[in-house]
Amino acid sequence: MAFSQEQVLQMAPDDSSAKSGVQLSNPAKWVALHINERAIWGACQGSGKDPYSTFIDTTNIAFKCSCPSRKFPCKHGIGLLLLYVKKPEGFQRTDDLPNTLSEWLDKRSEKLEQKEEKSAKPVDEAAKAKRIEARTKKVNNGIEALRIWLKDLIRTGIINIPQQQYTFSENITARMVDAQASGLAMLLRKMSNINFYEEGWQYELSKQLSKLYAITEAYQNKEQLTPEWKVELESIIGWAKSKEDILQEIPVRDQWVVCAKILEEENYLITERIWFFGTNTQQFGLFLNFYPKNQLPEHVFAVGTTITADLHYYPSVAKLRVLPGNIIHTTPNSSVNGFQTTEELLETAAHHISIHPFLQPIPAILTNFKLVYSASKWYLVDMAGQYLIIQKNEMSCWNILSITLGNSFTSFITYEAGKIEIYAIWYEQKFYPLV
Amino acid sequence: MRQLSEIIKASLLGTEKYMYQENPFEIDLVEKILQQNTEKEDKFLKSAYTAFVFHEAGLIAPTTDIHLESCLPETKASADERICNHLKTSLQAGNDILFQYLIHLCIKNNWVVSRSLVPTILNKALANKKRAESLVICCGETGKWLCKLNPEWEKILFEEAEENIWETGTFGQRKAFLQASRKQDPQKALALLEEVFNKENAANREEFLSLLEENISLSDESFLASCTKDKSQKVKDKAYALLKTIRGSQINQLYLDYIKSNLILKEERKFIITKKKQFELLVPKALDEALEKTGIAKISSEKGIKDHIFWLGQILSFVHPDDLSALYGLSATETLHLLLEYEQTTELTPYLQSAAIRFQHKDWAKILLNQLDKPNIQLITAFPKSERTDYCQIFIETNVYELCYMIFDEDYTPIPSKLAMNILQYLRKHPHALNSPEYLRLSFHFSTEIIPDLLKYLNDETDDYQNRYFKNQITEMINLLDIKKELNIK
Repeated sequence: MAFSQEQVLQMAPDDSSAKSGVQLSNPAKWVALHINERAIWGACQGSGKDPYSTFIDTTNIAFKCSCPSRKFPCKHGIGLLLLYVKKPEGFQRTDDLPNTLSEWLDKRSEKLEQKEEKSAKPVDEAAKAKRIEARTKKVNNGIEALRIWLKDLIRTGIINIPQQQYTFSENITARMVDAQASGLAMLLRKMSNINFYEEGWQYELSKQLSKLYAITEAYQNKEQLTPEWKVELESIIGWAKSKEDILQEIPVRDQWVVCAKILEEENYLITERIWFFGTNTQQFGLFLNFYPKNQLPEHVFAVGTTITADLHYYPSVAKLRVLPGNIIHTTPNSSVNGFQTTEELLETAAHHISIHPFLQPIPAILTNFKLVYSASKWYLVDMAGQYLIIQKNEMSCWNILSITLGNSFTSFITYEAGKIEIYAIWYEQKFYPLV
Repeated sequence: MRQLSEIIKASLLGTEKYMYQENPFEIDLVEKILQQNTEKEDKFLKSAYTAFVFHEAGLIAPTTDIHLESCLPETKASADERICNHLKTSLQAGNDILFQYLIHLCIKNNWVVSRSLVPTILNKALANKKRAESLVICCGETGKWLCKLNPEWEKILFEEAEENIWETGTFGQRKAFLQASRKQDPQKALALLEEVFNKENAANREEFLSLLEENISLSDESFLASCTKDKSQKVKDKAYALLKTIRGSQINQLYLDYIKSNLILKEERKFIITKKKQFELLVPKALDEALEKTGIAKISSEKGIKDHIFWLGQILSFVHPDDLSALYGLSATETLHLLLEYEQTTELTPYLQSAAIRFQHKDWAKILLNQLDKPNIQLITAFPKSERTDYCQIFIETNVYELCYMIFDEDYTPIPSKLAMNILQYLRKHPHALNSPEYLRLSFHFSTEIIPDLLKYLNDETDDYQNRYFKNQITEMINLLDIKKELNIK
C-alpha cells in the first residue's frame, strides 16, 4: 500500500479535516506507530487524558478511531495514513494485533460474509408480494401523473420555462418521490441544472422531457420486453434490487482503476458516484452510493488507485451499475488505454444508444487526445484533427492545459450528444483527478 | 439539424399552437408514431425523443486545424516536490501565511512551482494584484503562456521587456511599470510621467505622483512645483507633501528660514565660568501665508499644544536633522539634546521623532530610543536590520503587536533566539496581544532550533482559557517550524 499524499487528502471529508490531518502527520504527535499485513495503527496524544487509538484496515481501506469526532475518516485517520505515506520507516512492524483492532478487522470480514448469508434466509413470499403490489400501484399512479404533467407542459410550450427554471418541476419532482420513483425524480432534478442562459437550452430541455416520456412509455409496456429490459426500466425509475440480491450475482474480478469520485449533496444526503474501469475486461462500472452527510461511506476509494476486486454488476441491459464485493488488494498507481480517435468513440456511443436509448452519458477512456482552446471554447482533438466539445469545468480545462502544455494525454470522460466532460487525466505516468 | 428545428419550434410554442403534421425526420419509426391514433402531445414526445436518439447516434465528428502556440521551455529549476505538496495543502486549507512563505522560498531560489498548481496560483494572483508579479514569476514559462491564452490572466502578466506597456497597458500595469522604472532610473521615470501627466484623470495623477516618493530628489522639484498648480486639490496636496520632504527644495528652505527666525539658540553664562547653550522659541503673531499653503495647519489639532509650538513641530518634522544642526553650527546629536532640554520638550518630541523616522537618522533615533519613556516604534527603522535587536526588546512590553509587524519583512529575516524567547515569554502572559495570523507569521522568523523550547510551553498544565489559546498558537507554530525543518531550512 503506497498512496500518494494527494490521494490520502482526498479521503478527508472536508478541508478542515485535511488541514488537521496534515498537522497530525508528524511523528511527534504519535506515541505509538505500528504496522502489519492487515492494518496500520497508532496512538495519538490528543486533548484527552488517554491517547486516541486510530486503526486503518489496509486491505479494504477503512478507518476507526477512539476520538469523539463524528467526521469520517477523522483527522487522526488522515494524519496516520499521511504519516505512513511520508515516513513508513517510522512504523514498527508488529505481528500481534491489539485486541480491539483484531476484533474490528474480524467484524468487518464477518459483516461481508453476513451480507451474503442474509440473502440466503427464507423470505415471507406473501408479504413480499403484497409490498410489491402496493409499490407497483404507487409507481403506476406516479407515472400516470408524470405523463399528464409532461403532456400539459408540451401543450402550452416551454418558451417561458427559463423564467421559472427552479420551480417549474418542483411539485412533480416531489410527487415522484412520494410515488417511490426516485429515478424519475432524479431525472426531473437534472432539468433544473440546464443552463437556461446559454443557447441550446431548448434542445436540452426538449430532449429531457421527451426522454422522460419515452421512459414512462417503455415502463408501461415492460411486460412485452425482455427480463433484462424489465429490470433495467425498474432501475431507471428507481426501483432497484436490494444489495443482498446484487451480491448474489456472479462477480467480475479485475484490476479496477478508480477513475473518478463525484460527490453531490442535496438535503443532507450525499450521492457518491464512483467510476471504475477494468484494465483486463475493459469494462466500466458505476458504483452509486447514498449516505447521510457526516456519516461514513461503506467503502473508501481513492481516485487514481487500482483495486483488485470483485464487482457485482446489477442485472440490466446497460451492464454499468456495480456493487463492490470482495476487495483483495489496492495499488496506488493506475494506467489505462482507450479510444485513439473521435470516430471510435462516436461509433461506440452509437452502438450503446442503439442497445439502450436511455443510457447517457456514456463513459470512455480517450488516449492521445490534445486539449485546444479557441474563442472561449474548449475542444478535445484527436490526432486526425477531429474534435469533441468540452462542456462545463472551465477551471479543469486550464488545469489540464497547464499540466499537459497542449501535448496529448489520456483521459476519463463521459460523452453525451457530441459533448464530453473530463473527470481525470493521465499524463507522463501520473494521474490527475479533476473533480 | 434542420429537422430538429421542427421539434424545437413545436416544443417552444407548444403543440397547441404548432405541431408538425408530416414526418420531417425521414425516420420510419417516427412515421409509425405519427400514424398512431393518440393525442398530439403523445405523438410529439415520442417522435421527438426518437429523432433526438437517431440524431445523436448519427453524429459525425467535426474537424479542426486549430493549434495552440507552444509554451517556451522552462529555464528555471522546479521547486522540490515537498514544497509543491505544502503549497497545494496550503492552498486547499486556505493557509495564506504558509503559502506566502513557500512562494518567498521559490522566488528566493529562482524555482518554479509544479505545473498542476499554476492555474490556482494565477487565480490567486488575479485576486491579489499586489502580489501578482511574484506569483506569476513562480509560475514560470507555463504561467506566462497561460496568461497569454486566458484574457482574464493576461491582466496580471507583467512583461518587463514590453516597452509599450506604459502607453497601452492597464492602469495597474502602468503603475507597476513606472514603479519599476523609478527604482532603476528615477529621471527616466520622471520624464515618462511628465509626458503624459496632463492627459491623466485626477485620481490617476495622484496615484502616479505617490510613486515619485521612491528615490525623491531635488531634480523632481520643478515638476512637483508645477503640480501644486493642478486643478485637483488632492494632486496639489500630494505635490506639497512630496516637496516638503525634498532636502534643499524651496519649501524646505522656507521651513529652515522659519526655524532660524523663530527658534533662537542662545548662550548663557552659568556660574561665571561655564556657558550653556539653549533654545528659545519666539512667538510669531501669525502663520505666514506661504507656509500655510504648503500644508502647515494654522490651528493646533493637538490638545494642550499652543498654535506656535504646533507650527514649529510640523515644520521640524520635515527638516532633515543635519540641515537643522547646520543652521546653528552644531552637531546633530548636540542639536537634539538641546531640543530635548527645551522646556516644551514633550510637545516637540513627536515631531522630532517624525523627522528622525522620515530621514532615517540613526543618531537621532538612537538618542530618542534611549531617552524617551515611550518612543515611537518606527524609530527602529532608522537602523539596519542587524542592529535592531536591542531596540526591539524595548517594545516587547509596550507594543508587541506593532513590533511583530516591524519584524515581518519580505525576506523573512530570522530574529535572534533571545528576542524570540522574550517575545514568547511575554505572549505566555498576554497571549491575546497577537492574533493567530501574527503567531503563524512570527514562526517563520524563528529558528527551528527553538522547537524544544516551544514544546515546553505545551507541557504547561495550566488549564485556563488564556493558556489554552496560547498553547493552540504554539502548536500551530510548531507545525510550521516542522515544515521549515522538513525543507531543511534552519
